[in-house]
Amino acid sequence: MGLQFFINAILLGGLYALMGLGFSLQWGISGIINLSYGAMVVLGSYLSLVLFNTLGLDPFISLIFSGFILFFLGALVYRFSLQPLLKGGIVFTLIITFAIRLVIENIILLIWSADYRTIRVSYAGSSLQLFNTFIPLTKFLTFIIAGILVYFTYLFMMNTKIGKGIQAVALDKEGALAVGVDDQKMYMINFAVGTALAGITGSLWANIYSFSPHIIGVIVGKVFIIAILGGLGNIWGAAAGGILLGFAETSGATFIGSQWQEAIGLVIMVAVLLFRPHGLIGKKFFG
Amino acid sequence: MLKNKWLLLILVSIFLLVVTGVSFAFDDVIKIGAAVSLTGKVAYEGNLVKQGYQVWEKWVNDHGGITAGGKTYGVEVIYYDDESDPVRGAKLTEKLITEDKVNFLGGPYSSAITFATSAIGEKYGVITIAPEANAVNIYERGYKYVFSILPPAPMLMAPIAYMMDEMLDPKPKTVAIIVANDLFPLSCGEGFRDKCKELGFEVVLFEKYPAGATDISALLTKVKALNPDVLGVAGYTADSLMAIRQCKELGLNPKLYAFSVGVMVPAFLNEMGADGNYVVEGEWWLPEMKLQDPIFGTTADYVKACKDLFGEDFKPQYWTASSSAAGSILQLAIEKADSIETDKVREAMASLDVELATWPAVAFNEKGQNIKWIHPVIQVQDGKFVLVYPEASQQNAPLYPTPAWKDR
Repeated sequence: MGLQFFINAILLGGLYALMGLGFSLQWGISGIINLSYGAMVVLGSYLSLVLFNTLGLDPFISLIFSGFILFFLGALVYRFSLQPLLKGGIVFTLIITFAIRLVIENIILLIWSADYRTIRVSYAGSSLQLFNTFIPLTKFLTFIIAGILVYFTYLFMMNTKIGKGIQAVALDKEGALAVGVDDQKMYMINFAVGTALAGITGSLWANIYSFSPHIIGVIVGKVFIIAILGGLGNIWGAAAGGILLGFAETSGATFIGSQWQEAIGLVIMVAVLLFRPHGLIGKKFFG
Repeated sequence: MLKNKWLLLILVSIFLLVVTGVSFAFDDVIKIGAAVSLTGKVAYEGNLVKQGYQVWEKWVNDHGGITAGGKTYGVEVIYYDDESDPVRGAKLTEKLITEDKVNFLGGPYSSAITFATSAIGEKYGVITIAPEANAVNIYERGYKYVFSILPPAPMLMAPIAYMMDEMLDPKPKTVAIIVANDLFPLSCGEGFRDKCKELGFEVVLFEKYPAGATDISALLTKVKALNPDVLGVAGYTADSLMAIRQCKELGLNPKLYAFSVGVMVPAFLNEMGADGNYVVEGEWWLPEMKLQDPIFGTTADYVKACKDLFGEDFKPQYWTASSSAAGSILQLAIEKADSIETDKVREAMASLDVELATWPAVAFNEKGQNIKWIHPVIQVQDGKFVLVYPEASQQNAPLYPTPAWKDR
């Protein structure tokens, strides 16, 4: 039971880490609290569903398509609906992203209805067995992929020119402008990377859980907690926040009672806001 | 000239036939008001409820009407659209009583709307027979004139406990129940828990999880450590999909999976495939049941009456059956009272204890709730829904115990 607890927690946390990362980057760097993030995750799930039903594509492969499609969707959304209204401040971006959520949600409802969907790959539900502990295969693979993607995002930010540009505008916007970095382009790419991560999370989600437009709100709730736990715009912070939320929910259910499993994440979030408002890991971004 | 006379005669006959209508064949007409949701968010269920009234109305008028006090009465149901709005429902109910002068009221779909309309019925002393409203608060107001066809929610899973007691061999001993923390699932789960205890099963776990949770692996790990014979899950469709999948992932192998809802929906079989086999669920009524009453005859006759009216593809489900049952109950009460006076009918209705073709059983407590069951249990067998309980309606015996995941 001890080992099973650990496995349950860490596998859940791995998915949460990836899920929270995109949201954290968008908020921490582009300055946009993306209320449509949950809808973008679910859109990724439905894209994988379509590719699975038509081409028989495994979600572990179709996540590449979800990532690309959502990347471009994110870039378009930023360029044509967020950027023109940035001067309006945070309230405008909240209203716009909420509107985008409603649009995506209703398109999904129109096309796929509100029924819960599942992607059942041939190995769905099978597990690796370690003594008396079960490691669900799809969740295990999801964990590995999530880990790889978080690391890739880190490499992208550290080693590419664009990544360094994004860091530059995040750390010191005026300074970056002075040396010729196109700040709006960097914000747009960063926002698009965030939505791509949302799409990929959606594909992975579809492989382990059921989904419908109803879960959009649940996801938005969780990414808020993860981003705040880790510190906004901080890659390792989001990863830590995700894992922490995984452990918080699992220990809530295991040691206190399952009805507290979600409340406990919120309690920890409030504690972090009170005592470490910059998040558990460091300050903003890599600074 | 002669030709014109004939034409006039025909026209006059048609006119007479139209204006006299139902009363042409009967001594008088009983008017029943039904403000139901034909548009709005519960329009789907609202229309099914209306169809249930229509089947009963047509059947009664085609089969000699209702006899009381030496007179035969035809039935006329007056429908309005409440737009899925309780306030509108209440206003229309007032209109039905004061302007249309209806004798009785047939309730709408949903507890929320019935809560409002039954208050109007009570104010004017008109009986409401509610087909689709089992929220407890409707019946806790001390009202005299409201009766429910649908039993209270805690009874939904009760027949599963009876099935466990009467049919399963070897008889299960321990039960773990997990419940989505929301009003309806909680009522179902608590009802199941209490019935299991009453029948001598040991309830080893009763735990709530947040409604809308997407991962309950931690809770199921706890269940696994207790190794119960029966796993009861009270939730919604998403919960049933989640529970089965995560049981499989964690190698959790109860001998019986008992669900409240979310099994007998197309999504369950589509999404679960063979993993959905062996699961049982409590139901209110099914068209495959073998029930009888003096009105429709058998359930099969009732299903045929529905198909005759709405086409061969129409298969009545419990939303339709419950409103037909509301009509049937009214009819039986009037015949028993031998009068259409409200208070006599009320008294007769309160003392009814019957089986209907359209409902497994009806008998009311002093609050007007239907506290009589046995309603059915279905099991998924080989990718199909099979009626396994009660024995009188059984299509196949329940498959038990459920094989372990690795042996399937």
